[in-house]
Amino acid sequence: MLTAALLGNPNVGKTTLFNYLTGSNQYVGNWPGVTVEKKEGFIEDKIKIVDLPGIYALDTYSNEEKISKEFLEKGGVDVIVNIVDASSLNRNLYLTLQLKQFNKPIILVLNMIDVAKSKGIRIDYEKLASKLGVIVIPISASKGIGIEEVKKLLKGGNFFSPLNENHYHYTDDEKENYKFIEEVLAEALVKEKDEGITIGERIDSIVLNKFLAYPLFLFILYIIFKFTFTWVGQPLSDAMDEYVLGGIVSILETLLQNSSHWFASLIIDGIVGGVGAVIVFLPIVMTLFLGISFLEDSGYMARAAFIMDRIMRKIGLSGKAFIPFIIGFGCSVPGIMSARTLESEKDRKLTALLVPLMSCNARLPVYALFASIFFPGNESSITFSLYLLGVAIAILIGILFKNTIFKKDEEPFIIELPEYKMPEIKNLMMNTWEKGKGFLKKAGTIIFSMSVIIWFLSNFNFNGMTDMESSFLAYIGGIIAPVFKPMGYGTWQSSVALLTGLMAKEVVVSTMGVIYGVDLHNLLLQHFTPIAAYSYLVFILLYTPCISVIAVMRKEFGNKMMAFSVLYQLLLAWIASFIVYNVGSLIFG
Amino acid sequence: MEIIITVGIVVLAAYIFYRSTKKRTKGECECGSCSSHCPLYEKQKNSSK
Repeated sequence: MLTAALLGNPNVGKTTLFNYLTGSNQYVGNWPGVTVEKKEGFIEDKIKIVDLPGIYALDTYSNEEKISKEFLEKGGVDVIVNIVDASSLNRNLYLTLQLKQFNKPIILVLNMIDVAKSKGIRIDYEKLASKLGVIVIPISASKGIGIEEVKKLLKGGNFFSPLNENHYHYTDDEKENYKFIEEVLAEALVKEKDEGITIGERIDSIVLNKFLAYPLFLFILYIIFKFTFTWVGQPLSDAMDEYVLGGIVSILETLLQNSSHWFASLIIDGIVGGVGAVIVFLPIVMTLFLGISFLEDSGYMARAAFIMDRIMRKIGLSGKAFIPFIIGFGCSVPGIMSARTLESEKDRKLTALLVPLMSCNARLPVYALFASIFFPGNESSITFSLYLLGVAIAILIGILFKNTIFKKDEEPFIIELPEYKMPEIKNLMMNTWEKGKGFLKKAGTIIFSMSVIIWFLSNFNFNGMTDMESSFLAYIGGIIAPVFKPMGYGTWQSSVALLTGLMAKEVVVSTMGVIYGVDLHNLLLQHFTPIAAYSYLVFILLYTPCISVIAVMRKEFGNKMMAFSVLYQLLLAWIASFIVYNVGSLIFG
Repeated sequence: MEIIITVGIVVLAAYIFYRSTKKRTKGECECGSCSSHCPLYEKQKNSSK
């Protein structure tokens, strides 16, 4: 089998080309750092395509560069497919020159030729090929133009054309290399028009403006929360609750009217109550991630990382660490894992400790449930405030750690700002559906099994079936409840939900769904005041996300770091929740 | 009949719980929500091919 390594600068369309070539559906993002590890795909089981992480050069030592370099040296590569941005050849060809060192045939894929043409850039492909000693194929990966030619060439296996010689022009002198690139481009490239200031540059002058950048960033996020909680997600969720879940419950009540009371309770309160309480939040999860996918694909997310660099430096990290944080808003596990792309061990550890403070989407159903009951009409503001609180506390903890256990110097941050573009509907739908699918899978597995377990624990004790107040669950909750009393929610029900929430945060909602049953809304109002409810949400935001996060911390950093992360998050959650409840009670009575 | 259905539900829930907990405690995330972003997810996907 022939092995082709797919390589290029970050955000030049490697993953899009990989998907076209292999028929795969890997995540495609309009921001650098999407490909963390190498991915493999196949063309008709004859050619193995390996998608390597995006890199600018092979002479620095980030993990991505190490992975790529090692693979080129030891991975049995037959041909290098070097994808470059045709509208930015000057910078992209530096890596091409370095790749020549490996003495492998190179297919230089010029992506985004449509963008280059719109910028008035005309490229003489033959001249470029002869000057560099590579095969050149122009494509537009996002539109599927030219992909077949790449496939045909790979399938034909004829890379050693007379053009593709192994002589290379790379030296250790960076200036010499750029001089050579300029000479090549002087002959092979003509810029027909001077663009002046582009639309992208005009937008950047606003979104990256020293004074406007942060307010605009917050405003954009707020609009996404409005979209989720006021305009689309919440109304859909309410409709699902009323018509779908309500309908299922009434059908089941009719069907089970002649059944035993305990059996009807297991089905309706246990399974439907537990799983249904979570599943009604599916529209909210999908809507929020539709908004975030839109930001990623439009090119704004890379700008967000850029403007966050200043804040990130204050906590001893570079803007690059913002990418694991953004991923952490989806789920802390990949967020912690993507910290691997950071250069230093200290950066990786500090990022992994802070990523769980970003509010993952598993917490969203808990926020949505409490916000709709205790703060009707202000759901988006309450949820938005929790997300911001997570970020603010991460900054404070970062500063604390930077000056104590992770003392280090600041490091430079290079990020390429991609072209703005209108997100493709297909990509947006694919990303949103991925989130929805994951949520449904979770509802059908862990949430279902936890609901059944919780129902049994809440209806049985050593003497058999009993009332809930004498059940195993009430006993377990009663032991830990005093710990939470100073924060205004020292009931066994709320305490045990925090405990079961360690399996997955959505289980907090399903636990309450099973315990309180169909009267969930009214009973929650009896057990919490609005301040206690907000204080409870702060605890949910900050304490250990789930056992997967604990396990991944252990896997990535060992037992000590795992224990430290769990303890510090529990302590932090307790202190913050305590402050919110007591200060809130003083202010609002 | 009710007993048989209940036993079926309990066995299924216990099996899912066991499998899920085993995966999770190994650091093999099963969160679902990370899906295509997650390097672990990629590994699982490739190994299942």
